[in-house]
Amino acid sequence: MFNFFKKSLANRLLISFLTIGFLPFLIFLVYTLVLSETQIVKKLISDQHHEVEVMSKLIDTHLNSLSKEVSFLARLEVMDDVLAQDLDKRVSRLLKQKKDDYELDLDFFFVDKDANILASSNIELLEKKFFGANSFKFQKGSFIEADELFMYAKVYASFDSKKSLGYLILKYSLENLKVYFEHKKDANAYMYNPKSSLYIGSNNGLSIVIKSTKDSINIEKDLVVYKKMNNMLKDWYIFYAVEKHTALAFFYNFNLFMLYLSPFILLLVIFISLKFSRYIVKPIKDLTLITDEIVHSKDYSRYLDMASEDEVGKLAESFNTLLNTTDKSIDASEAKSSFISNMSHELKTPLNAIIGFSQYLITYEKLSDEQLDIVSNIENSSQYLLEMIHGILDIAKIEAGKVDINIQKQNILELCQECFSMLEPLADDKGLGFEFMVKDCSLELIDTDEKIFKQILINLLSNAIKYTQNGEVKLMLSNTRNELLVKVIDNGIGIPKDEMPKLFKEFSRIDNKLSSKQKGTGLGLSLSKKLANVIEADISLESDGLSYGTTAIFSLKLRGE
Amino acid sequence: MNILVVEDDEANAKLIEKLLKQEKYSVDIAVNASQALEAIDKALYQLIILDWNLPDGSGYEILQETRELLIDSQVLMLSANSDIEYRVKALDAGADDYLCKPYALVELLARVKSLLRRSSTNKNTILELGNISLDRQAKEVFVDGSEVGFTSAEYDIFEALASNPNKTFTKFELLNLSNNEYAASMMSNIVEVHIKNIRKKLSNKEIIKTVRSVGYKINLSS
Repeated sequence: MFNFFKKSLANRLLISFLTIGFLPFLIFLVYTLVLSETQIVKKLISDQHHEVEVMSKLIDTHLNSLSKEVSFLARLEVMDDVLAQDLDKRVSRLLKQKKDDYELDLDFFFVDKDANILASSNIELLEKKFFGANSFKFQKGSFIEADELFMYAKVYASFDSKKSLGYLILKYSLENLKVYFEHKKDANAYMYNPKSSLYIGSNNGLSIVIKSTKDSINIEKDLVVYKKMNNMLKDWYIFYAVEKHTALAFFYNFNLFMLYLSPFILLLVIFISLKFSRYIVKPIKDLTLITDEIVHSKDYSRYLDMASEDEVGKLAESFNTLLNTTDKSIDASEAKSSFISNMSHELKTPLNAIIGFSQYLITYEKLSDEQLDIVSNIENSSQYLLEMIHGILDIAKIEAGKVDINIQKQNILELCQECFSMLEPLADDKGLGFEFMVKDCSLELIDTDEKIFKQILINLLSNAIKYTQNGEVKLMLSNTRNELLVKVIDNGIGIPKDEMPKLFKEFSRIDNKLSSKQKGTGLGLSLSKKLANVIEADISLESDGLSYGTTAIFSLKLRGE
Repeated sequence: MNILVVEDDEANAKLIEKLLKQEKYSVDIAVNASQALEAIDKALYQLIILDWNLPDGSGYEILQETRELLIDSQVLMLSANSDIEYRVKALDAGADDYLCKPYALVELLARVKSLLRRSSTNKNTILELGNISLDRQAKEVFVDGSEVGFTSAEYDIFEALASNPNKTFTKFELLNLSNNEYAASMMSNIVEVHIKNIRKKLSNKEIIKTVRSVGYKINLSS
């Protein structure tokens, strides 16, 4: 899973695009679905409280103006007529006029001290008793009986302000207040008196338990706000209920819309992300494909044709420059290798004659000792020259990648034993200890090139014998999981630390007494390392310094492991 | 025994001619392909030594033509190219042996003798040197009838010396016989070691004589 991201830029881009594209939408969706409802309900309740306040104030104002009207009428001189039983009905006409002006379900009437109705806006009430007279003792100007509000004012004689004539009463049906509730659209407003359990306006089946003077309740289907009323209606509560499905209809519809939209948004984001991530990575993929082809075919003369002018285009341009340089240097290197190879072959023919004639003279002609010495020197030097040509030819072949490699299963012990046996007489002759040890080596067969392996190991062994005067040379075989280690350990002259890097360079040798006595081309170690690299192996040297001996490590990567 | 040497390099042609005449063979030289084909057409050769590169063709083409004419002379190919594919190509086309340049004279001579022995009915495989005898077929050495255990390198060196008594061979020539694939400078003193061991095994220090700073030869008088 980790690799899914680690190894693919396209996948990483895809995930980034998906995150950038869909995450904000997801956050918005969650906010809308979960959080915004609370906010909207809060706002609705606040609006409802405001509505209730307004209604309450309007009702208050309306009732106050009625109350003032009652007081005003009670102070009119015409009220003196009641002393004469309102015989000419002046007061009743006035009251009737006032009732008609209001166009409400109400009645004005005058009651004397004995509770007789002497004047009224409703003639049916005349000469009847007013049973509510007991309520006057409240002296507050109003009282309520069932759904009727009574407002009253004491009437005094105009000629004697201390002479009370009775009361002017306004009987006001609370049903009149319905007009304040009925116009509400999408809402249900009403008044309720918990003491008398009376409702004014429709409660629409709602039954609310009142807990304080002002509150809001969020019940299953409705949002209800209520408030206790003032003054004349002090036992009453005004309610304002809104059905949630109506109030939040837009919000619910919006949520539904968002939910329906989300799969489409998700698909759209995935589609765009896929398209863009592939679009961005495509030129890189194309570039990789072409470079792979070039590496595989080794055709460095090719040209990458990337039409884009963006960063990838610039990368391709740099790559073309690199290809061009590589192509030129490969051409130059091939020309050099080819020249060296041809030259070496051409040198061999005359050299063959020089060596051959020298050997002929030595073998067949009766030469004096001095002549023999001279001819022998010619042969000797020609042999070194020949060996050098062979070495140069080998290096040229390696550099041109034209070494014949023949990888086959080889018995590693037999291979090492063969080299060991070949060199054993040399070590014995010098009186050196010469030992072949196998330590922690679980391998029997390895895949390698027999000739190259032997050439390298013989070189390392003969070097060790050559540079060891007394002591011993050990050939040690071991292996790890990934490589075979062939170590040649000697306690010979060793290598000074600062000389170590030089050793693998062509024609370099350590300058000291022992090595100056030794013959050699100075190509052996460099050639061995190059050959080792050809068979996916390596050679390294370890030494604690001059006279501390040397360990040469020939490490072969195990194939197929 | 008639031998045809086809070699365009005059010096090398002369060298081989001198060597073979010294060994009492009758030698003809051809310096290009047309001369070679003309010579093959005229005379019967037991052995043809053919250089690969010729100015007007190649030794390989001459070899093919020779075999097409059903001429069954032994053919030894010479070439400066040591690549395996060349050797295989030559042997497939009917060459009897292949020698890479540069070669040691002793090796060339050994191969010439070996090829001519193959064609002759008289195959003398036992070589006697006083109380020492060599079985060339079994590659074994006996002193007074009992076998001496020689390594293969020791046998090759001793056989070359014993086959050419009183002739001096350089260390490099002898080295080529035993380990021609590996660096000469590394190994030149191994010949000394081998000689030392051969002397020890034969219990005869006199038979191989050291020619100071040159090489070794069999001293037949001993």
